[in-house]
Amino acid sequence: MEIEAFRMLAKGIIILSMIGTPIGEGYIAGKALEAMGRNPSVSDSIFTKMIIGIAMAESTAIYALVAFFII
Amino acid sequence: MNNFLSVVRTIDSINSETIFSIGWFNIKNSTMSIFLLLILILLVCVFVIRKLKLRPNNGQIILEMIYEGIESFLFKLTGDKRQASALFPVIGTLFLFILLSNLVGSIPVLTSFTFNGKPIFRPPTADFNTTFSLALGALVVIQALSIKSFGVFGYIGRFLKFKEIFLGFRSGISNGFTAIIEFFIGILDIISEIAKVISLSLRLFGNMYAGLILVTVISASLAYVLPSAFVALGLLSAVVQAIVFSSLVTVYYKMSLKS
Repeated sequence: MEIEAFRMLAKGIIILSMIGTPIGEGYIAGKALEAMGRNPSVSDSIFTKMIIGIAMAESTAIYALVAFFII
Repeated sequence: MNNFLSVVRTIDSINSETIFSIGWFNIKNSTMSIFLLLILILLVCVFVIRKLKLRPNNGQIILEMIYEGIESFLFKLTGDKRQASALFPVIGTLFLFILLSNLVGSIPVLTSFTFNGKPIFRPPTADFNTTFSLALGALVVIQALSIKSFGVFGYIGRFLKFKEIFLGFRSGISNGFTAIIEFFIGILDIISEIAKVISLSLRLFGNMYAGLILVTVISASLAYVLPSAFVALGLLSAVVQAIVFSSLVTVYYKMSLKS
């Protein structure tokens, strides 16, 4: 096969590797909502920390995206 | 595909393009955006900071809100008021610079000016050189402050834990083997320091560059209502990435000091 065909295959495999990120983020958001339900008075603080946690969990998918643009 | 419903624009490449060069130094389009940010900050200084009063007027109220916001955020992270005030110049500058650079992409007409087919302005953090130098500079400062806190031999002892092996074998055989495992973990810490630089810079660069490309690609299919969702997502991720970068630098600084 030619180089362009292999490049398209590589791009597809990179996108497949982003499967794990939304699973982790859903877990983070679910646990945060559960904690907010138990103790509604600290709900604001939990929301801020949840946003930071989601940004950290997103970072592996962003590394894959940068590799996608480089290839 | 140049019809009424779409706005076609070429996708920016990963390396930013050179606009002109002064001798051997190339001025790229992200550098032009940094000049624009400098002029903006200069205007804020001339019009607000030179006229500070005890009873604040409008611009001064906004600046005081930003100041108190950053200081309380640092206090929540470090838990020590004196350390928060000492860290405020470095981390506050980092936070404001990254926030303003990320928001350059949201100014309405700015990315459409072209010169010889190359766009003149581009968000500075959408260029890997900017984010890599920010992360590298922050980590070098953290290593220097860690040497100042531990001493030179203590700093080397953080990574090569020979002293713990002696103490472990003196107190018992199983403690000695635990100390050998900790020796290998200490060597792995060196790689972890390098990984911190790469992860910090790639996270910021990836978010900003992907936001730029998404708006370009979506506007090329339907330019009327659909891009607003992606522009809003870009604004949210601009603020969140600034907060995450500065809080991570603060946490790395706190972990590198002698407790």
